[in-house]
Amino acid sequence: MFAILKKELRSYFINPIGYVFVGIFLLCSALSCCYTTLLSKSYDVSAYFMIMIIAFAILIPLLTMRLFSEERKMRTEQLLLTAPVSLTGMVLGKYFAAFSVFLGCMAASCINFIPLYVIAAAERGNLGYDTTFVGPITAQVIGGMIALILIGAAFIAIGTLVSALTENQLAAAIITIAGIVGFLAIGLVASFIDVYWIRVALSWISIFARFNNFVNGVFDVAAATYFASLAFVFVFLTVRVYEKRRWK
Amino acid sequence: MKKHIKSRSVKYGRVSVILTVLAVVAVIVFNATLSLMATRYEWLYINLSGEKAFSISDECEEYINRYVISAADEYNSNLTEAGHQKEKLTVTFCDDKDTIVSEEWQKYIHDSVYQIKELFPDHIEVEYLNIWEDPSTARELGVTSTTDIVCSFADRHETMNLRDFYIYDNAYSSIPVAYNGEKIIASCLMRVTQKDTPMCYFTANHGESFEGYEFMRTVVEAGYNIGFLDLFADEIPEDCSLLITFDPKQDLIAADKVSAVSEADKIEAYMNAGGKYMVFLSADTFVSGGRVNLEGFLEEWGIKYSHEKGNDGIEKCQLIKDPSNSLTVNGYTIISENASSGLGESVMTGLPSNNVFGNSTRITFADNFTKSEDGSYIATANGLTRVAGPLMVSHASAEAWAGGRAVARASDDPFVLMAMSTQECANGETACLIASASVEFASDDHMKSAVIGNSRTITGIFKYLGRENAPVDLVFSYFGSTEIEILTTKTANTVTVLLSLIPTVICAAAGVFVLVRRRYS
Repeated sequence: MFAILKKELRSYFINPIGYVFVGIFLLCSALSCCYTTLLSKSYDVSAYFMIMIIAFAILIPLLTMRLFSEERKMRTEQLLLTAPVSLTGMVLGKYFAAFSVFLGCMAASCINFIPLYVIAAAERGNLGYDTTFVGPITAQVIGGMIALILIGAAFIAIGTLVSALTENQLAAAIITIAGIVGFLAIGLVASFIDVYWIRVALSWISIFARFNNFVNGVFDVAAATYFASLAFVFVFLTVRVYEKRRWK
Repeated sequence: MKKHIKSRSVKYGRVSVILTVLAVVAVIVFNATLSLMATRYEWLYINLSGEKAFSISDECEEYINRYVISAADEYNSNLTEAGHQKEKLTVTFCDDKDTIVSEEWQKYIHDSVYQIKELFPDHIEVEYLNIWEDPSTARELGVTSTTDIVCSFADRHETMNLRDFYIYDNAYSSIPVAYNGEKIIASCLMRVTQKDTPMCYFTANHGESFEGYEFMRTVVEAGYNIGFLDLFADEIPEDCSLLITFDPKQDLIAADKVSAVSEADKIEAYMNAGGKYMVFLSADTFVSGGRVNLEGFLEEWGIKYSHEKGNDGIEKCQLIKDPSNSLTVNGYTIISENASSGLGESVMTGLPSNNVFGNSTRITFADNFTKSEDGSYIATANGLTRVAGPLMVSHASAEAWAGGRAVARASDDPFVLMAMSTQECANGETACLIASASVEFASDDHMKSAVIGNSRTITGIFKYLGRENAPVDLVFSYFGSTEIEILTTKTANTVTVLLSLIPTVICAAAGVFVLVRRRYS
């Protein structure tokens, strides 16, 4: 698995796609963070995290569209399938390669919060009276970052599955976008449903409904398990797709 | 058989599909179970800040123990003697737990209630009511929204709205500036457990204005129920524990040829039976002249509002100005001092000294009241003694203005801004009359401020008037400031450009470097 992971990581950065993804990700995160905080004169970062989740619908397919599609297109899939590595190891290697790039981008995007803390420190120094709190709420920042990483992991898993189902990278990207947007929209659709149990079920699936606790500074174990389960299910389905393909 | 089992179509066909479906179903069931557990077990929510956003204060814990738990225990001891089961205090949220916990404004209240429950686990229960599944119970409790919270004990309940727990900049704002949860919860628990619910009546037939929502709320938080009274048409009810006349635009109605009803006589009879009366007047109250009947009644209790004849020949009240101790440029919103002797000392001890009076007039004491050594004013009539004295006074730098000129200075004698008059009645009760020289003292802006003391002072006065369980020491907490105040637009734009471009350029440069190197290596 590690050999696949290293190979995949290297392939991200010997092609322009890796640099394009990282560049666009950092640009997007910087602009949305600055727009929702500095330019809005607010320390509240919850809007930034909401925008990033929506931005993932475009960014993550860029990362995952070539994972398996390119192998199929270049006819190197057979090499992978006959390699001395289990299918699960192969799929996980590719998945974790994409996830590692994503994680690196998330870590790099943390520099966007530095100006907020610097400004807060300057404001606290200016205050002539005691106040409850000035500055970004660290629990909110940490909770939001954890939520984004978990949601990103789930979306990368969706992209991995879609990439395994098609050999056309563009089709993989578009279908992944549609899938992620569908997941995000489920919570919005729930509010239009009159039937109580359907509304509850859709709210249960909704990404945004489970995200709110994190951005309030609470680590919701059930929500974290849900996102991890999403990632597990889609990676598992990818393995099953390849199992079937190998033995077909 | 073996060949069949090992065949690809079975092993990697239907069986594979079934196993895959079972695995996915297992994951769904596991998640559903965990979500259900999350509604019951707090440990599934880990607070990343390491401490509660708003912790229940020691004062709140003591207040609940003293006035709520003891009242509940007393009630329950009577029940158990009669062979009945004990009652528990219940706080009911009108939505599912995970919805409440995920919503920021409800989460604070939920945390506060749970902290109180942890302090008194044998007395307090928390429940969740789904108003869509159980609309009849919701209707019984007077619930109108999923954000309502109900406190109930035995057969009594009080329903609070989400908005009640927060302080807003203005009535139309949707973003709160402070959290008032512990006071609201504690006072609500007190009201459902207190033995009796005293009535506070506002007179309503003199053009009184009731725009002061925060003042009304303070009255309710002190444990009163509020009613409105047409003093001309109705008698003062026997259950009236406090009568308030707030900013009347007209005078009390006196007996005349048409009607023998005298409102002043009604109030006098009420007071002689040990009643409590509060009057809020201001300089604006007298803009069209004096209030003969009301002022006549007040003067019998030793309290006079100072008049001055204006250029138009009409007697008007003086307006107090103190630019040295004012919150406004015009000097008419002044900060007071607490009286340090006599009646004032006994009432105001422990209460805030930074109270604000806006558009205030000036109170003096009736000529037939004799000043004593401790600063009180005393008069005796019909075997009954009335004692009047200041509660809050202006600073020495204040001036009284009338007719466009300063007619008096507080340097000689501080102006009285709020005064009290008491009488030991024949029935052993103590009648109290509190007169305020400013209506704006009880305005929303002043009552909801955590910096000035008006709200706590009023609550403290209610406590003195007999509401032992008024929550004087429970204060609200301002939220942290989420507004950036010292950042210029230019700096914000510069930082935005730098944060956007620098990482992107570094990334692009790295990419070009690696690709070019690869190409030519």
